[in-house]
Amino acid sequence: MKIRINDLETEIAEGLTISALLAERKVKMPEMVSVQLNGAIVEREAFPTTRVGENDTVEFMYFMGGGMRGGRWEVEGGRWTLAGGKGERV
Amino acid sequence: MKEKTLSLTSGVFQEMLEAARLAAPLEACGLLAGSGARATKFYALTNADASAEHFSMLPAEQFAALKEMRLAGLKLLGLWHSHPASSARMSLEDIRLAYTPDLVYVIISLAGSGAPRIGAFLVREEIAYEIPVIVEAKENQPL
Repeated sequence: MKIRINDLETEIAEGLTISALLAERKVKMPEMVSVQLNGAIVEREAFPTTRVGENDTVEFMYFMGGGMRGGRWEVEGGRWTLAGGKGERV
Repeated sequence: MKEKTLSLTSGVFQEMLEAARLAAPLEACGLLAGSGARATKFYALTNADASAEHFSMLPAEQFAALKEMRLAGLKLLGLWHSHPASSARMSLEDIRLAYTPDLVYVIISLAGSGAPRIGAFLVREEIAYEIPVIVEAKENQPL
């Protein structure tokens, strides 16, 4: 079936979830990707259960951030947060 | 990496500088769009961390900016952020988190009492390569 991924028309198998689509497109570090499906952000917990349908529009964007403190970034409630609060100075 | 450069229009540079100064002492961040290697459009995005030491963009704002770029026929060229009190160099964390391939990572530094400094970098396999930045002269500026 046809969908649009990052503004490019793409043919994919039917029934793929967001997780499967990220894997199928060989997206590196999928845990650092935000996904928008038909204009709405998909929460990470819903990646394995949200299916992509015919003519859907999917957008992938990587986390964009940085700074002087290292740590593990996690997405929650539509924004990224540094796990554990302060992180480690690098 | 030496063959690549990044050009900023005078307007883009001024907007970036103003956004960095307004946000100081917190870090400011955003995106740059244009064509080829010339950034003609500046986006100031929210630093969701509201921190002087790190920044993260809101995914909703990233997607909205990308959509606007496409409608304007522009391409996402780079990501910029400010270093209010440190040099225009990429920190280890900046490099580690440079996930998006082919973007130019621009840092504007307000550190010190002199003129602001700007640095632009490409990141490949967790190594940052500095590339030249050209800030274009202001149009119609009297000589």
